Amino acid sequence: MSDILTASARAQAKAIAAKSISSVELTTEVLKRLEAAHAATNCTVTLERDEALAQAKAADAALAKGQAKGVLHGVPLGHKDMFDRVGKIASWGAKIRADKPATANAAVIDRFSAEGAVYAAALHLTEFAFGPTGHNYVIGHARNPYDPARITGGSSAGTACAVAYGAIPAGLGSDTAGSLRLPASNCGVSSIKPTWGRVSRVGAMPLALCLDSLGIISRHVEDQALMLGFLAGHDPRDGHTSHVPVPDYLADMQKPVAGIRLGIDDSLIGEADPANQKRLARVVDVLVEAGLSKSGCRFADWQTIDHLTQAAQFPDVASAHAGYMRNRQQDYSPQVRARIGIGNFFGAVDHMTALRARGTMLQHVLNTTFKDIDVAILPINADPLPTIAELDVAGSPQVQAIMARVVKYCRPINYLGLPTLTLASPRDGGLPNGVQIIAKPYHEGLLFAIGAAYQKRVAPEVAPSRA
Amino acid sequence: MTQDPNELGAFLDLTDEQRKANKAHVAAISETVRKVALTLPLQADVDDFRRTLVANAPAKGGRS
Repeated sequence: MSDILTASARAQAKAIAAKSISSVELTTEVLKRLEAAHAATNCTVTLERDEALAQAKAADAALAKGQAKGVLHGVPLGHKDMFDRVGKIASWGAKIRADKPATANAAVIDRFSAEGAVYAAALHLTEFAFGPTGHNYVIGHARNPYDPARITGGSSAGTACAVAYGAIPAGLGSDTAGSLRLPASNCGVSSIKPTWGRVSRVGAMPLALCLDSLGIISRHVEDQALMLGFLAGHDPRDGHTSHVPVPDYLADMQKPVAGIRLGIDDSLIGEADPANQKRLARVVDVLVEAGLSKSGCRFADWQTIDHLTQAAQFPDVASAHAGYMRNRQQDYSPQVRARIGIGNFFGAVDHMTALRARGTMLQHVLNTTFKDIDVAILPINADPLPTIAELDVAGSPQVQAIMARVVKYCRPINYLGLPTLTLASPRDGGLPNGVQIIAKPYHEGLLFAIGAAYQKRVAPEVAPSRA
Repeated sequence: MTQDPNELGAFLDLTDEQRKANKAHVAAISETVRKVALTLPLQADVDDFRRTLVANAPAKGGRS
């Protein structure tokens, strides 16, 4: 049983299709693992035991009749608790929730359902998905699967914990300023933050729509390729989704990586803690061994882009929460209240300038940083994994500066809208730490090829507490 | 300290120290944004971003 639990979702679906395991058997085991993962990490908001088993039973019955629904038929998964599901109220990780149950599923939930996936659990997130550390003063802090005293990263903490713990192979998260990458990095798993506008956000709780991207956290890169294949694409209900055709990511993943030019900005990387630089260098060595070629590059305007990101993000967040912040301010925890509140201090001209400058800045980065490279590598974390206590800063006046350091390598990428793959660096018995590989717009297939080549050399891990 | 009701964010339940820190943080960002504004063409449009993303998608038949 442990082999199938640590396999990819794709492999689990194949096992169910081959009837070497039933969906009910797998779902029963996954529910047990989720309980254990929750006890260790606080990863679960709602365990959908009865519904999941009913869905699994229906999946087995359909399969017996030769009526498999799709590529994830009967595979139990869990997702960040910010997506609408018919008849349910998502927690948003907050005291404030929607007034009534959803009358339609989020687009991404519908797409998983159409492929036959079983919904097993709604997973932990930072309050309103607004926090990069995994602290949550409403539903409790998430705890790292490798060391419960340490942070998980956020905001998609529960998905990363459940995947790292070996409870589920993959699940949904979102990323506005690092919320897929930071928990994936801190929990030793992988993630794909697609190009902005690649995946519909209909029915997903917004944080800052100008930056929000939905994506996948998984152990195996092949699951990201499989899932982005059915999640990506234009949705007329989300005007920000693009009409760029969706390629066959699984085919792209198989393509050779020899000669792909990997950009390294020594100056920017040098601003990270030396320990994190060493971890990144290990990943570079593996990628070079896989056939990539190293090349220098320079993200020359990183701080400028970070400031533009904040001028775009914070007023957007404050605007989304304007009603609740005026009527139910005391229902926010002090940290999230303070962080949302800052958006009210920006001038409208600065916000508009940040948005108007975005195309120019992106083209400049593509013309300069990416002039002679195909992808770039950067750390995800500036510092080694801190403890929950060390970053328990609540609404301290220093909270903006402290969080700015946490998201230093992530937030500007959201302003640029670029696709980004998280890879876990070789752990060598230490704590998890990941890197991000950044590609040009809509080049996710290239990232999957790199990720697959990397994972042939550095196999995905499951947290030792259950390995 | 009594908050000026016309001040930005006056309705927020923040301590004076938090308010001061927020203002200082935003001021630093504003300085950067204003420098960018000096070089930004008059015609720069919010939708330039989406157009730039799409314009840099892989060419048909190219590697995605």
